[in-house]
Amino acid sequence: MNCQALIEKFVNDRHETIVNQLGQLLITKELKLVDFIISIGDYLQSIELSKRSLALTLVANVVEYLPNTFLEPNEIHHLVVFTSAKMSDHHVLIQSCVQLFRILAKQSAINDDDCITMIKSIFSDVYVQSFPQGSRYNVFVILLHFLLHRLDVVQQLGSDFVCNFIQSMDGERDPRNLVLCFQCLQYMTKYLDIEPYKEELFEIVACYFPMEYKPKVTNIGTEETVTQEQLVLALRNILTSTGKFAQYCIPMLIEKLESDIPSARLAAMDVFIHCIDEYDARDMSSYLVQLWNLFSKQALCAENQEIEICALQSITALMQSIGKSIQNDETEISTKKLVDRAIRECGNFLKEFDLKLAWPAVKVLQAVGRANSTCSSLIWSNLIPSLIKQFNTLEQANHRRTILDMITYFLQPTAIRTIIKLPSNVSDELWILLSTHFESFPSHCLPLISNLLQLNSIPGQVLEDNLTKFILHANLNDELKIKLSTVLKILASSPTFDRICTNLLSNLINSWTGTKTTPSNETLECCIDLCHNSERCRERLERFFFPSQQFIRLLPNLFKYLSHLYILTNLFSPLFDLLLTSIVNDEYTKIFCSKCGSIADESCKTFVQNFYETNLFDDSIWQSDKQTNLLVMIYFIGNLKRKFFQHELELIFNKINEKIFNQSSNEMTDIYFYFYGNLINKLASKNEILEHARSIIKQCETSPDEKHIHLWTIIVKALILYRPSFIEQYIPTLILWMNEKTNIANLACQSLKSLTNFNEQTLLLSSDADCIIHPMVKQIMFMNILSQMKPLLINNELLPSQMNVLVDLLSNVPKSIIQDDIISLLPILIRALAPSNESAWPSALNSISDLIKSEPNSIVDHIDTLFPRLITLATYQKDMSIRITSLKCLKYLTNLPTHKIEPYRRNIIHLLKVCVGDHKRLVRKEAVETQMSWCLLNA
Amino acid sequence: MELSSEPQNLNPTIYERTEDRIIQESDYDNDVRDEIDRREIFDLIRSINDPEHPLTLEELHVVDLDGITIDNQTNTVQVQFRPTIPHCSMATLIGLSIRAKLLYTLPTRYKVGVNIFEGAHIQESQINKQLNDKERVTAALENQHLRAVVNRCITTSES
Repeated sequence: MNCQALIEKFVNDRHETIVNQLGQLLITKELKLVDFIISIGDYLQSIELSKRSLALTLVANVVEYLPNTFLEPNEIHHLVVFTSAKMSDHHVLIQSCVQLFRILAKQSAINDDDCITMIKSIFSDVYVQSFPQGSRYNVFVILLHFLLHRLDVVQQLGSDFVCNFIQSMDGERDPRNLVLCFQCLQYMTKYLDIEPYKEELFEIVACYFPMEYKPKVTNIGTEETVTQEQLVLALRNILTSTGKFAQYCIPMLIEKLESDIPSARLAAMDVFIHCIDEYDARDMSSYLVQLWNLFSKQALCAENQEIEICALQSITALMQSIGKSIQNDETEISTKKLVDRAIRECGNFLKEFDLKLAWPAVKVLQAVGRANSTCSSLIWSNLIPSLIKQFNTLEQANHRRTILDMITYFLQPTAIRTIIKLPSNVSDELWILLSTHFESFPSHCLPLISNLLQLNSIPGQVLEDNLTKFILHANLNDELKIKLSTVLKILASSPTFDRICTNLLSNLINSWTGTKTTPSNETLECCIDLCHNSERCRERLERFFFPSQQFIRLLPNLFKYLSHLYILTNLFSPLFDLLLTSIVNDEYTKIFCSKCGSIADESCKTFVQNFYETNLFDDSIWQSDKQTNLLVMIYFIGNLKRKFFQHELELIFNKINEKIFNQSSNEMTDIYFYFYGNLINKLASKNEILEHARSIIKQCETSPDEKHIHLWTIIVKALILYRPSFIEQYIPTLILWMNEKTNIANLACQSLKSLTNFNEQTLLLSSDADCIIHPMVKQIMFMNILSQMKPLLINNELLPSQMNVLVDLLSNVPKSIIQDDIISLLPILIRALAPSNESAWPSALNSISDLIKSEPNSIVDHIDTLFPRLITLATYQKDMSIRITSLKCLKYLTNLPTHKIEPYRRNIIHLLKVCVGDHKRLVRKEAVETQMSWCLLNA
Repeated sequence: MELSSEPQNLNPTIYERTEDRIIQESDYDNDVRDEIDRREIFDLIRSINDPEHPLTLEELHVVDLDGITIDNQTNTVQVQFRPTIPHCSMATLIGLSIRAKLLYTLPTRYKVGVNIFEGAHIQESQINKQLNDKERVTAALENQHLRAVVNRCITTSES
């Protein structure tokens, strides 16, 4: 079919495929563009408007079909001239013209003059806002394209472009177009001269502030929607993009800050926080006090935490912007004046501790202080001495504690900490205060000490004595231990405190070497804290090194400061004998061995090789009296990294393969099996290992007894961690076992439980031990298990153990996977609450409680059975967590439609009278909440 | 009792809230018996809303820990509260809210007394008498309008 015929067909039938055919002809050079235009010429000049419009659309669509490198500059030129002439022909044609423009604009061969013609034509002929959304969108796409890729051309047009753009977007309401407009504006404020039109430009943007837009819920999920955040961010970026807006923006922000609507205030503060990089303090000089008043008011009387945080950040931003301006005593803008004002206004609140404003005032002042070093020193030198004075005059201990907390808060580290120095008189006063009152208020002094140390304030000799005394004599609780450890770690980390650190360490070591006693756990922990320094760690550690069990527990904390080979040769090897004595029962010893294994890298290759060759390959190690040696080896080797030791691990696997299988059944078997699983998992990428693992699984399946099912479970788990889809092959076997009437059913239930339990990671089959763990393992496994187990779940004659494991399974499954199935499984969950299934209650209740909370309506059909069960369980004496969860379920049930639950109301309120008298406080608390929900059902 | 649209105490002093009760390890032990203590009674009533302000009775210092006594031997609970101003017309309503909340949430074995702190209100004795008259309290809580107001006060954000 020739070109003319195709065009005619399109005009008559509007057949979409014709566009493709014509495009293809042009691409394959069977048709020249000139010929195409000549052929369509009659239609383009037709006296019938509809034909002209159609022809133009066809041209646009065909050109769109072509790649953007296809057209020659002269072809583009003629098309642009032609299209811009058509613009003034008739308004109906403009939409097609704009579409054609959009395609031409993206042609790479377009020259500068044509770009200018196009832009001018758009601005002079297109009344953008009178067109539908799609065409407006096209216009903005063209303009954004030029701004992004032909900025030089746009710059030639100068501020005319700005003026015309303002006219084009004035009144735009569609969020999709707004996103584009905001992007254009951001480029314009950055690269074009907006000076003549800055006010107009600001006005056109400011009318959208604060942005309140809720995306409509669309049925078509795939459609790309604009989010509120996207618009808010785009708008904020423009408002804060240039200091030229400051004179208009600040009054607008003030207006919004004065409003009653929290969201408007939040938005205004958000813009303010981000504007200080561009805005100059001089532009807002006349508004400074007003802004300060508004922000401090927001911070002092914040309705919620979000507003408070924003207000405090705004205060910091305000002070930072003032700090950046040039100032002296005469200038209107002065950091000192504003800090004085802050102290004058908020300082008084610090004296009334009982009042609600005391802490907000502290926060405001701290926000002022953290702005820059001048503010910090002003705030500190003004407030801290007076607080110290107040401390000395007050007698009530809790007031004194509050003051210490306040000082600590003022001195807390901020982002600009490095350049601030605490005035020396303040620092001295504080150290004196701390030395005299350390013993009375250790829990409040320790955080203050850490803040002071972080400000590089050098303490006196008293601190060492105080700390030594405190560590050696005080009976420390957990909270104090954490605070003390922070202080010691700061002391250890900085070279400034090297002397103090060394003295402290000597004092502590003397405390036990002098008396020849064993140091207490706390003392040793403190010593280890003092070694937290990458340069001095070895030196300090060696000073008091002696092998002890406490050490094994604490040493891994220091691993990051020491070289790997050093750890293995100087810590792991000498401690070996000690490890053997406690490996069986001590969790820490196992962790220590694992950690030593996991840090081994290339540099430790020789050590590792010698280690396993002399120990593991020695046949005598497999005798039962040497089993502790074997354990050390297992935990060490099981944690070696695949990256460095792939070859060695393979060697070990082949060597010990048979031995592990032949081990007689004892308590160690479990660990051997896990070690075996560990190696299989790590080496699973090798086909022969995979085959080997499969053959063992088969071997286990032929004689299912306790030992074999256990081994089966561990190897299967090792494999599915590597590749979760393997589970498909093994679930049928498991179901078969579960349906057996013998003990095998119970064993199979246990096996399923350990397969699906990802919370309890064993030391040897976890990502810590460098096992390969598929990121989607949970999802894929549960999907597979659930789909294959469904018939079993709906079966009415479940054994209690089966019920137990299945309900457990349901509570382990991530909620997103189970969402669709849970409603069909609800009867089982409710059945699990029956008196005979006591062991399944906790899991079943948790699942039900989650379900009622998220989808209360799904439970409506079952409330007749559910209520009596919950009522019974709410008074179940043996387990308080069951009582609490039942009460929670009862509480969530009040979200159901009132007419459904009204019949039960009296009964439940009566029952809850018993629960509020429960002998456990936590149960009473839940009962009270539930009781209130039911009592106030109609209120 | 009239509910005027304008609050009587326009600018009440606001106090810091006390920390939440720290949960001890023994709280999770089902075999240990936790007696109801003053703090627990306080936790029940601290969150009651003031009828006039969007604040709780605790924040206005209307109730505090010192005003509560409990005797688990004789099963009696005494709550004393302090209206923010001596001529507060809301005192009865506040007292009634405290009573209602305790009625709903305390085990029935307790005999509850709600009184105003001595000298904290000009009509102290009258109000005390009203609040501790079982018949009148029951009658008040059966009055639909009054019950709605009380329910609004004792509704906490969690429930």
